[in-house]
Amino acid sequence: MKEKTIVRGQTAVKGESVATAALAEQLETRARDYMRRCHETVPSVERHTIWSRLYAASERLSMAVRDGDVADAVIEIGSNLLGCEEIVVVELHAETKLMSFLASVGVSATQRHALSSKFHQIAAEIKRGQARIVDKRVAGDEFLASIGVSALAPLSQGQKTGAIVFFNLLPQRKSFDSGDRELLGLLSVYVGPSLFGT
Amino acid sequence: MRPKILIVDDSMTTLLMEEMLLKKYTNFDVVQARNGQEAVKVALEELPGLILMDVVMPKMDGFAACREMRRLEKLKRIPIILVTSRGEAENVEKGFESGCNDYLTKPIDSNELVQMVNGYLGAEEGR
Repeated sequence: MKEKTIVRGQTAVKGESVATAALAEQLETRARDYMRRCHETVPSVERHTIWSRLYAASERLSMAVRDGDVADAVIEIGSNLLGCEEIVVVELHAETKLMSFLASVGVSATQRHALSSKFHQIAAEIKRGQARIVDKRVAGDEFLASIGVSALAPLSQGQKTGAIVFFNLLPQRKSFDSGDRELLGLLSVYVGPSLFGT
Repeated sequence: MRPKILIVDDSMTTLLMEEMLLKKYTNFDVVQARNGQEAVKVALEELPGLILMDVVMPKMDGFAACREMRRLEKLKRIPIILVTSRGEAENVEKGFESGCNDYLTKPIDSNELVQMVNGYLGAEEGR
């Protein structure tokens, strides 16, 4: 395995590790698959937009895994493909019950405090294990809705956990939809291993 | 040599999506720039058939780049579509005042993008 140093979401690469290369290759394979799906259909088909966004996200993440800027790529993907410019990527430290903010955009001090002061509740939400679109009318979503969260993608790798937390969407988007769920799922699967692993 | 579309964005994610769609669904080659300043330079070199440009970018934003292109004889007639995450009326108005022909809001809908681009390039150019 080649030498590599990871510092708080920034990966300084002296040589690419086997794990990094494997993760990037998985993402490249997914990107090719989404591109193929796009090309097999026409843009007027509703799922075309979903596949093209999944293609761009997979391709961008694979580049970020190799370049060591995954947290920044997540912010970029959220802003450009999900229409949300209030995003934070957090890591939870079970031993100290503290939260590290690895990257963020447009998030106020109040929103940060709402997260960091609710460590146990956020940890419990992450433990549920699936990317979620928050709907205040749905039982179980009350807590996240009460602090203004509109979606949450849990992240994990081994004992390490974290989340991508999305607050308000841009004005032209009323809410996240089922297509966004697939993109949130992609982020949830790949961002944890690339931020916390290898 | 095939005519070109210039896509301008500081987001690699957006450039990836736009390039994939435009290469597949138009008969144009795609060239890129990462900010408004670079966009003006690349446009003067490449003389594209259409420019698809983000608004919020470092160095020179999309509005300023659009105004600059409209000032330059070689670029003033090239259709410009601004791509903005801020779709409010005031931003749209500012875009038209800067000389753009049309605008799209992010997140991009692939059908909307392809239809609009092919509309400007002419139906015979689309696949």
